Amino acid sequence: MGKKRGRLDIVEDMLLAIQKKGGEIKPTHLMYKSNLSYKQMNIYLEELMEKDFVEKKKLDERELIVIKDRGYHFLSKIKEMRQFEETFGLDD
Amino acid sequence: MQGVQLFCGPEWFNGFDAIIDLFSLIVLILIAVYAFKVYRLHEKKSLKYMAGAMSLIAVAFIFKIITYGVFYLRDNFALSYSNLANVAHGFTCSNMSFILLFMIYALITLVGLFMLLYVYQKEKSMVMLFLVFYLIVISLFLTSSAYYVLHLSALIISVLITIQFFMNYKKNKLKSTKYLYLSFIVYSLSHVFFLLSYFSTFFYFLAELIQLVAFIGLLYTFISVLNHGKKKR
Repeated sequence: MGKKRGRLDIVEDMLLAIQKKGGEIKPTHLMYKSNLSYKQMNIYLEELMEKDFVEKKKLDERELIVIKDRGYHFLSKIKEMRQFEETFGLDD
Repeated sequence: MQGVQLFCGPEWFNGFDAIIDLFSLIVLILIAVYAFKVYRLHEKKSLKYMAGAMSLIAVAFIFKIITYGVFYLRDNFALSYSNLANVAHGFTCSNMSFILLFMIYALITLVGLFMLLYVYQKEKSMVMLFLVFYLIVISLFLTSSAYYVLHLSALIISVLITIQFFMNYKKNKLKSTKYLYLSFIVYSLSHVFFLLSYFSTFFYFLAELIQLVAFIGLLYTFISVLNHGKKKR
């Protein structure tokens, strides 16, 4: 069984899922791709929007989650942190 | 305790070692601050220990700069000292404040290095930590050769840390981990030359240069980690 994900892991998974879809994703897809329940996803989505990492957009009646520049920046910071932990052997 | 034996480089080199130590401490502070920032984001204890260990070694460098500064300006501070027999560049200083300064430098260096090694120990025990701290203290304070105890112990601990980093490299094959363990090999080597300083001022000069190379390597490692995050979106 895999290790329990922390808050940062979940945020990373969500941002990565949006990035892999070219920067925008449907909420249902995001929910599946980041392995979250609908309720959990909304809690995290609220937080990501508060921090200006993502925004909701309406396109032809469809709702999309779009990653913003701050989100990309945070994703690169996480990547940098992971590299630091791996380099120093702190990634367990 | 009779006094502290200290060795230094050629006279023209006095003060340049402080610049190298200052550079080393800046590199350590950069890594410590970054490790602490990462710790605040996801509260992993090993990151806190890493930040603490790097900060301690950095503080030790501050004490080293002060200790050697006082030593170079010994006439201004009216310190009582005596040349070691047959060694023109070695001195024994018996001034209490000076001894205390050197001991703090030595103690913080060893505790910092041990803490760095401790980060990688699976079994963490406060009893073991206390015992090692006690052994470091008595081995430094109950000898007139604290200079040797410091560099020999630092050599042993840094070799153990290097082995740990090498094992990490074998596991992850990352270039940055390779730079890290190579930097620590060089850092360990610098302690060998600090030990050899008894024979010639040249060895102290060489030890400082090797230490500079080690910390340039460590800075390069850190920069390559930061650059990794900037690579392609």
